[in-house]
Amino acid sequence: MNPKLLTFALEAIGRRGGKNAAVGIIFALLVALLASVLLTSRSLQSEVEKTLSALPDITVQKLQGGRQGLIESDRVYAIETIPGVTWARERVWGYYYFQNAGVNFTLVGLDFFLPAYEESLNAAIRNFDIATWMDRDFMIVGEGVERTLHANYYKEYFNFILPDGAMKKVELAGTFAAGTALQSSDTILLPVTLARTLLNAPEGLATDITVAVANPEEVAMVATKISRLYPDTRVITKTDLAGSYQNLFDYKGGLFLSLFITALASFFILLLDKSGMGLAERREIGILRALGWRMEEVIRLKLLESGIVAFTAYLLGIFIALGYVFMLQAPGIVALFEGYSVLKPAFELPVVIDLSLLGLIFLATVPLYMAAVIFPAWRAATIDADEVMR
Amino acid sequence: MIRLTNVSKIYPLSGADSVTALENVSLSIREGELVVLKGISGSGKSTLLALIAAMTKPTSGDVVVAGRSVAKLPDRFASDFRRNTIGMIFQKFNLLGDLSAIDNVTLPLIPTHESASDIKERAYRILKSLGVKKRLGSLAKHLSGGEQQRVAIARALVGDPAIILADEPTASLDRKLTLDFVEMLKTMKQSGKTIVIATHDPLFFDLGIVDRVIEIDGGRLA
Amino acid sequence: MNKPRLLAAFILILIASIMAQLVYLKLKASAQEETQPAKEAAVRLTGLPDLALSTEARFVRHRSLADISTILSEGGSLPEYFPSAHLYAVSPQAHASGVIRHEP
Ligand SMILES: Nc1ncnc2c1ncn2[C@@H]1O[C@H](COP(=O)(O)OP(=O)(O)OP(=O)(O)O)[C@@H](O)[C@H]1O
Ligand SMILES: [Mg+2]
Repeated sequence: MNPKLLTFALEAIGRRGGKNAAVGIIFALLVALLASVLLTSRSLQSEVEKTLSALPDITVQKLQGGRQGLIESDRVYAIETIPGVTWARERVWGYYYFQNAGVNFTLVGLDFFLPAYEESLNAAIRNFDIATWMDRDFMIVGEGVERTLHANYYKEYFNFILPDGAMKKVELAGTFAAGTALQSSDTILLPVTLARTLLNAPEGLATDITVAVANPEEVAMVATKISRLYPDTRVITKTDLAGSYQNLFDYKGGLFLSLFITALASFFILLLDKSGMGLAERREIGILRALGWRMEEVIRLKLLESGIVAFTAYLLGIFIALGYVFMLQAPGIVALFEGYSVLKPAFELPVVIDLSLLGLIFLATVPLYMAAVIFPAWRAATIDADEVMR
Repeated sequence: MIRLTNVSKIYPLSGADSVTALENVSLSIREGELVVLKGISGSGKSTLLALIAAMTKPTSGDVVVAGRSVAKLPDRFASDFRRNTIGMIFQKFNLLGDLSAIDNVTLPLIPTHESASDIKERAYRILKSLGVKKRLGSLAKHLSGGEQQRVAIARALVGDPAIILADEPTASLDRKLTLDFVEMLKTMKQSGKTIVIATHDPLFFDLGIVDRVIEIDGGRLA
Repeated sequence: MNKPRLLAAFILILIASIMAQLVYLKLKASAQEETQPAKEAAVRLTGLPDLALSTEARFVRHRSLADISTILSEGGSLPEYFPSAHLYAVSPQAHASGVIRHEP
């Protein structure tokens, strides 16, 4: 590259410093907006992906008249006989609507004494000793539940309203670790029998059945076998869940993107129309051409000029976005993704810096900007050089 | 050196209208000649210079400059021709006001392979020979008319062209500066350059440096 | 300092700031990595998918396990479940008050 041309391009940017700064800052903000949304989306998505391995391979629901109904617990035994299945467990869970706060909690029945859960209990729950809670009605709550209860003056216990209208006092035995807010914020863990009472699920029936399969390759096959064995069930595999998530993020990201593209388009129309190529700039190109600059030399100059501005603005945009998302926790943008959940968890966005994502943003913005500058420059350079004689 | 054969230039206007700027012009200028193009405003002087400089193409006829038929040059070669063979002093100087005097002079050479310090050195030497020693770093728009003109001349000379074209170079200058310009012309002529000046300033005709006057009227040679 | 130098200096400072930012975020990421076992354990306990935030309907967290009729019927007051719900005011204590709790 010709160093003189580079210096000249830098000087040219400086000469139109005000305009370049204004356009650059708007462009940087657009890049920052796009990058913030994509980084937030990517961050939350990674949070799902990272815990995907802890989910059961298959969830079996029973459908009744097109809706989910309770499933017979003894189907567990038949499912466990399918080759490849490590275990199958009935599960009792559901939602509990807390009228005062207008929020829904997720109630999950857990067999606290099953040795398989011991390690997970130790890792996820703070200040909890199962031995002291034998034969008592207790619960373990997520961060959001705790917050809601405190706001409603429940510190040590909570009065659930049973399906028959009676009160049920349940003591607060522990809380989920704060770092798990994204997973557990609205969750209440209860002993299974208590969960049955609260959710009105009689012995012998369960909300759904979870299944573990030893070999990931066999999951699809086992799922088919289960749905053949019980035609009234809906069988959801982990892959389905991941797909459902992808859909959700794509949908919300797409919603934003369609708005963003409009903003981007108006920016470039503005750039092409007004500030892009002022009279002075066109005259400058004419003079250069009259002095013997080749077309490609003028284009190269404009490529350098716009490239430097666009790249600087891109860097600035990424800098802003990284700070906004991972240091300030993306206020406003997180709302796009958490918007409809009533109980908002207090969480820290996991830092995920996906370089290919940053590359994608680069490709989606910088060449557009450069094209918006080059096109009028090219047009100005094609007219006869004798224009400047008048 | 310069030969025009039956050259016409017609500018199309909107609709069917058109302006005939030059009509059937034939002329030839020898190497080292200093020729004045004389004519009233709108007679086609600037158009003729633009044709010689390969800045525009004739509607018909042929323009041969320094052995090349510039009327048919592809754009890229026309650009190179302007840079290497032509030094143009524009009617309104056409300096870039936000650029310093010296940067205006080096402008034509920026895309070449010469080093930045070489072309600066050259520009400095030429400016000095034209009597501009101070204010080399001032922005062109802050220079006086005479200084601007010298910068414009220096820019025309920096590529060491064989042909100098000047379009009413003294239109905005007083008598003293005009006489200065004539002195500079003499030096250029002594160094063997072919010079074409479009003007109606009578001063030029009395000083005895002009080899030939070509009169042009309404696009035709008189 | 002239303008091109200023611009070049700005670009260099910007690159340096981004570098520093990346280093900081890298450190933060590895600190966050420490909560990973707890997160996995929490999911293992409930076995339920979906984050505690991104639900299509306001009242159904586990969208992946719900069907359309559930989404419609779960709400205490049958609220809308499309993006317009964004503007719907929820009770103030439902919001995380901005302070993120860190484990001692
Ligand atoms: N691009 C153009 N489009 C239309 N008409 C043009 C164009 N360029 C020149 N003309 C016309 O051609 C004629 C000759 O113009 P030219 O600029 O060569 O005159 P001139 O002798 O240089 O005049 P002046 O002394 O005022 O500079 C004029 O009538 C002018 O209006
Ligand atoms: Mg003219």
